[in-house]
Amino acid sequence: MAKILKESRAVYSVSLDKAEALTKPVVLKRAGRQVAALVPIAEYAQFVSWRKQHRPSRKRATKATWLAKQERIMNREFAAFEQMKPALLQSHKDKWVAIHNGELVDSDADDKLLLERVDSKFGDITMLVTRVTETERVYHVNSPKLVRQ
Amino acid sequence: MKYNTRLLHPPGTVVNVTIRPTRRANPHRTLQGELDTGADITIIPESITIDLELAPNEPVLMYGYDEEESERATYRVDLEILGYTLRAVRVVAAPRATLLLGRDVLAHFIITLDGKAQTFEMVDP
Repeated sequence: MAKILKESRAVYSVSLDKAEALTKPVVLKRAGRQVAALVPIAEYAQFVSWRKQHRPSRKRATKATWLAKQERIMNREFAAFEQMKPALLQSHKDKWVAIHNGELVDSDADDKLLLERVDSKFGDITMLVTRVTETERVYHVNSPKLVRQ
Repeated sequence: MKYNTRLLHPPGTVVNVTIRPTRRANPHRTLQGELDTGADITIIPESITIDLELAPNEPVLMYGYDEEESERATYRVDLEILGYTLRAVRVVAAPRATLLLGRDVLAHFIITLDGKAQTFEMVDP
């Protein structure tokens, strides 16, 4: 059986020393529990500014979502490239190839020329542009860095 | 130019680099780039890929000085260094605050270091 709960109508009266409220927070209690705090307006303004600075911006979150989507597209194109690689090694060895929607759309010995061409043909879209080589290119970054204490 | 004493200890060679998505004037970011002859490829901070909405390209294998392996996505960017622009440079993103200019980029310049005087010159022939 449902119970109906009623809250008694209570009138709260808060007596404040004006000077105190202007300089430090005043904690409001209800039935012995802290329920709210009254803070000087300058302190509140600081908090609002801090919150604005630290809240993750919607724009950045949207960008992160966009980036995740591009990564998914790239993973798909890369998987297609891996499948095509044995055949590409026969036909396009050491050339740069552009893979779009799982298909080879263009190739060139010069990566920059290829990029320019596919960019003008397809516009600013995510597409795999990679070199067809037997062994994977490995990069080294040999510079250790001391962290200043 | 003088060696940077604030960012690097011991002091080292740092230049301002403006980074843009390839063939787009905006958005762009200017940050400090360390000249790193020990790096095969140029490395950009990961946060830049989100700021500039850079589309990832194929992943590559990277090895650090301790031979620790990691796989990272590559990106194509235009780099403006000391007034010179390098187009469609293939770079890798990593969680760091500054840019590392690897030998792929340094090969475009004549760089002269004077370690004793802690000065250097960097020009495009």
